[in-house]
Amino acid sequence: MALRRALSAAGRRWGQLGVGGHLGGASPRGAFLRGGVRSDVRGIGVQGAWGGGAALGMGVVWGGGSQSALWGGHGPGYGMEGGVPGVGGVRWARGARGALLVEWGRGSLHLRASFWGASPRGPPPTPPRCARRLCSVVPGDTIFAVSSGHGRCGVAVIRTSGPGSGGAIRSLTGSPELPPPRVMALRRIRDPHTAELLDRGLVVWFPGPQSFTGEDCMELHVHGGPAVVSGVLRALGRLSGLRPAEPGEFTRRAFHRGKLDLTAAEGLRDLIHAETEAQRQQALRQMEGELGRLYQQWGETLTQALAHIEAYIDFSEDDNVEEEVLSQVDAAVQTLEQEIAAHLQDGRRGELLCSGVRAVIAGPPNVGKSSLLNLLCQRPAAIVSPVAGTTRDVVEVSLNVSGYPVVLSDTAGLRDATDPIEQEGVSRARDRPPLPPTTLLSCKTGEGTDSLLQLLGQQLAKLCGDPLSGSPSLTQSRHSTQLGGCMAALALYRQQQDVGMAAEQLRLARRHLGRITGHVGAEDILDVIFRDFCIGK
Amino acid sequence: MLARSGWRRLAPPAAPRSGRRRAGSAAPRFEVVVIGGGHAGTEAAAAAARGGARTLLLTHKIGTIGEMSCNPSFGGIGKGHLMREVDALDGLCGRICDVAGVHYKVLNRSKGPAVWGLRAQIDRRRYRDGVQKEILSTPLLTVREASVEDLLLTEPEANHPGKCQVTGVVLGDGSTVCAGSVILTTGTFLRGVILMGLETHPAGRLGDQPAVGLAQTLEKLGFTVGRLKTGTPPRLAKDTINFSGLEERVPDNPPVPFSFLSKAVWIKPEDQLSCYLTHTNLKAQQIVLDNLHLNDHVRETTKGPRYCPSFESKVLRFPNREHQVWLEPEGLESDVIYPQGLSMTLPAELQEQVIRSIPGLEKAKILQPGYGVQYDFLDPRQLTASLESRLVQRLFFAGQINGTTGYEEAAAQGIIAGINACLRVQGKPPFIVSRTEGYVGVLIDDLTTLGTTEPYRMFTSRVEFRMSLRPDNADARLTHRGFEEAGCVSQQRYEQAIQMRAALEDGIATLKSLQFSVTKWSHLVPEVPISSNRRSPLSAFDVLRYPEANMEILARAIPEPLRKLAEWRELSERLKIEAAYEWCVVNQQQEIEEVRRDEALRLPEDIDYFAIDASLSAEVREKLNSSRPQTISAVSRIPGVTPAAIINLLRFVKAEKLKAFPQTGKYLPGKMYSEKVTSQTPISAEISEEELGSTFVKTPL
Repeated sequence: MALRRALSAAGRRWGQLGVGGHLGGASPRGAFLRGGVRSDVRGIGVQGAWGGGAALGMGVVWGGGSQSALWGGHGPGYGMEGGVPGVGGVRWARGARGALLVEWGRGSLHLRASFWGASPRGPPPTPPRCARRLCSVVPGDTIFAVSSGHGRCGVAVIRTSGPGSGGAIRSLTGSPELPPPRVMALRRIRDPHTAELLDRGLVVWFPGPQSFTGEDCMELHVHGGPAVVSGVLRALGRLSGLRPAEPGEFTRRAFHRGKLDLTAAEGLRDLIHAETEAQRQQALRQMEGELGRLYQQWGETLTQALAHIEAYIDFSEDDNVEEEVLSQVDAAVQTLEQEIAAHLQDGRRGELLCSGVRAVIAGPPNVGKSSLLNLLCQRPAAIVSPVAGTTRDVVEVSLNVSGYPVVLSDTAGLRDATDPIEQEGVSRARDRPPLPPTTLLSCKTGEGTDSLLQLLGQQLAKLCGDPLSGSPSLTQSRHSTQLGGCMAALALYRQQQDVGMAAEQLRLARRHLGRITGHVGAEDILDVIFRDFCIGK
Repeated sequence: MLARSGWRRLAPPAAPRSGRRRAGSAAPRFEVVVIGGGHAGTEAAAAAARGGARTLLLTHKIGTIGEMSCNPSFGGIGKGHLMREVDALDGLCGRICDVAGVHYKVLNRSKGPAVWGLRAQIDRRRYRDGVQKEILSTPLLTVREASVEDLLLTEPEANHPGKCQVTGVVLGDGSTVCAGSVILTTGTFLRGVILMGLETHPAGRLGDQPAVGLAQTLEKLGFTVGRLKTGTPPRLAKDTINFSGLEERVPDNPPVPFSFLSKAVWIKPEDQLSCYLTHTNLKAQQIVLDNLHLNDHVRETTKGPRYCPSFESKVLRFPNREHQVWLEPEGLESDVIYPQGLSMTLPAELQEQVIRSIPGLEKAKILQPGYGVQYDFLDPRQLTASLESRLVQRLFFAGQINGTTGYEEAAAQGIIAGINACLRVQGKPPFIVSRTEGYVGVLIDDLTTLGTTEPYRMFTSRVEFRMSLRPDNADARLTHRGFEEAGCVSQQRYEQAIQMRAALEDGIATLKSLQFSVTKWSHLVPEVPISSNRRSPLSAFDVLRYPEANMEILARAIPEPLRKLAEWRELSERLKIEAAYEWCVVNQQQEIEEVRRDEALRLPEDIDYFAIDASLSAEVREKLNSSRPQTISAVSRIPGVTPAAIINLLRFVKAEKLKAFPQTGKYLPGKMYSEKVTSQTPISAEISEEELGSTFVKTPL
């Protein structure tokens, strides 16, 4: 007997992705769970058959980015509670930024999630508040980066360089006083926007020119967990005038200030490598997959728009470049601006993750959700009983799975509903993708826990980036800085007095995007011009 | 694309032939010898002579000095910028175009002053005569008719790259001329071949012999040479053309002069000639397609320009459409019409068929058929930014020989090569224009860093700091440098530029000091729609930024002190432009500084990229070796060189990096906008020299 469930997460569009877990046969001797992972989806399905083959199951859902947004980051109240034992049904749970469809029946359960995205079918993109904030941050000249190398480590060192360093200490420590120069000081580090405590760590203030780069610098020595590090990076990225460092930028600044005699400092080569190669590889890793394709596509659109406006400037009067080229460019710029705005809004979901990846154990009542929770956290956090409906409220526990912080929520079982939207979800659920690999688990003996944890770990690594090779939050923050700059330039494009100045904004936008997708030179622009227009006198 | 393997690595480098031909004591001696009398050669020779070097210009025929061998026009978008910069360095072409044009027109009028393209149809004969008059009367400049067969070489100087040093030239008659430095500006004459249909014959230009001996010399020295092609259209008899049904393009009234020194052009606005526009049709296309087998030039793989393609290439790449043909006059008294856009290499009788299929040209008579030219060019990556070759010391190259196309590109390189050849003899540091300072800088940096695979033409899209490097401010960017560092600018021009700068400075300061509330401004200048949510108070400079505003309107509202500014027409126009672009220019400032900082980090000339101990990939080493970038800034523009590689290269940067570019930032366009109002000196046309010295030379602006 099999229970199946699929979790779907759609990122940008009302697309569908699914994860399903599948159990082939139940063992008569205990509860087994089967977990499944699909590489293209942020989610996992676990299904189980309980005891003597009862048709019961549960799912574990978690998400970075979009999923956490689904739950709105609000913990309880996302609509999953109140399940009833039943033979089947669907229910919509609406979160802050999307909706989740739960479908279940005897032996199967599917979860599908949809989000308001950039799709024209979604609500119209509202003026991006967040993006506006990003725009106002002119790429300043204070840079920050993790300088302790990337990976799991006891202590991570985050370094800034530039005139904003002192201000950054004040903002993060919440104190108007700077610590004495070059002396380590223990401080509470808080996110200045949310006042949330990120960590207690050591702060060192290096006023220029007596610093590594010769500029004002500061270092934060914080605990090395990915959540802390990304939390601090995010907090820094929100400060005005601060931006993530470009590859090798610290070293170059040090060099330009005469602080670094590289000929003498052979040992620095490793550092340089850490600064640049790791960042590059990280960027590359992020660039694979859907996100990479999306950025690439924007890059091409923007290059073409730019090439056409450049052609209009360099050739139109004596050649065959017509005025209508400009209106095409205008249209392309407008579309692009909307798409990036919507994407940036989407991207904010990731920021809700700061306290860890949210995972939810979901499923019909009395299938062993609480038992699984207790097993995973190794203490009786939730009351378990043979009676269906024991869990009435959401129980949350914090776990460390393979080095990633996970907030695991146990939920009450799911119940029936007849919402038409849910029915739509059901029909979509039926087109679910092939089932992913699964694992068997017994909550009684603990057998299979390792493989579940391993699967969870793999999935978390995909979500959060491998802690051994680097944190994607840094890359994410670089991306949103550059996309914000790109969008700001696109917005200014329309306000310009003359074509020359408008083209300048497109160049600026292209440069910002180029820091993500790769630089585009004058020659590439000319290639597009000569491909698209018959220039020649 | 011309693959790297397509380069002909010429015969292994010959040993320096010191002493093989020792110049006799009787041999005349010049500090700078320029070979070639085209647009690069004349600018180079004149600039070297202005700089104080005893200069010799060698040409096949004095009568062809200043010849415009292709189109009868100067300037255009990007090219007009180059001319303004050549003029700011006191070059010839702008001034002479102002006395030789027959149709002046500023292109891109509606697209903003940063991309205005000053252009003119030029009377070929007037231009040639003007250049010859100027060249033949330049002090220190000697002109001689001779062919150059060989170079005199000796041991290299120790502290410069290069395996030998040029000390003079050997002429066709076997005599020698000693030279401190030599500039080669031989255009398409190196192994030039003219093609028409299936016929080919060696020539640099129709009727002129190619330079074969020199080509062999360069070959022996081991220069890397590539091959390019170009073409020119047939010339038509004006009286056989029916202009009546064609679209007429009228010139500007009043015409805008090229030179900062010219108050107006020579011709009366109403005496200017018009150009006419017609189009090709499918009949012409069919003739080309039917006769491809008779057309060697088009079929061959040698690289031609994409932006100035032959009519055949246009038909092949963009079939089934009409292509523009501009009918341009060649001069006031000339009976020749130049059909711009109809460059062809078909056999002559087929060219006639094509011509006659075009509206207006049904009865046109061809005076001279179009033809193609294929020629050798030197890989410009073998040159430094001063245009001196790395292989042979004191040997400079400029113009089409470096793979460029166009009179203006040639002239711009010529003036830089001339200045540097002169400075080299005088033992002074080279004169290098940065990418952040001028189109000339972009042109030379692109060539010497990236090389080229097609004839290189200037476009504004190649220029990163287009908003700052405008035709209107070329004098503010370059004239002082030309005067102080190169000595190639006349006192009069220098003073004029300094005066204009002073007036602009003061004008901006005055405008910025006039601050009123938005309400008051709306009352003062109702014609300017100032948005009411603007931050108050607003300065007059802020108001001038609005498209509807100009100095005249402002002066009417606030006669004191603005009337005086508005009366000086040129000044008020420039103030308006400065106001409109201030925002953009200030925004670019940080980036300009970054580029300059990287430009100051110089890599040693003799660095062996294959041997150095740095973690660089083989691919990057290969790229660096072929480009031989001179600065870190140039490295960062080589495609495929990673940030990690750049950081690694920093270890090899020369220690004396900080003293490069002493002028950096001094006259940076954006630097003009100092927030503080420094001086309220009334603008006066008579600023004494002493004041000039203290105000504009020593104090960074």
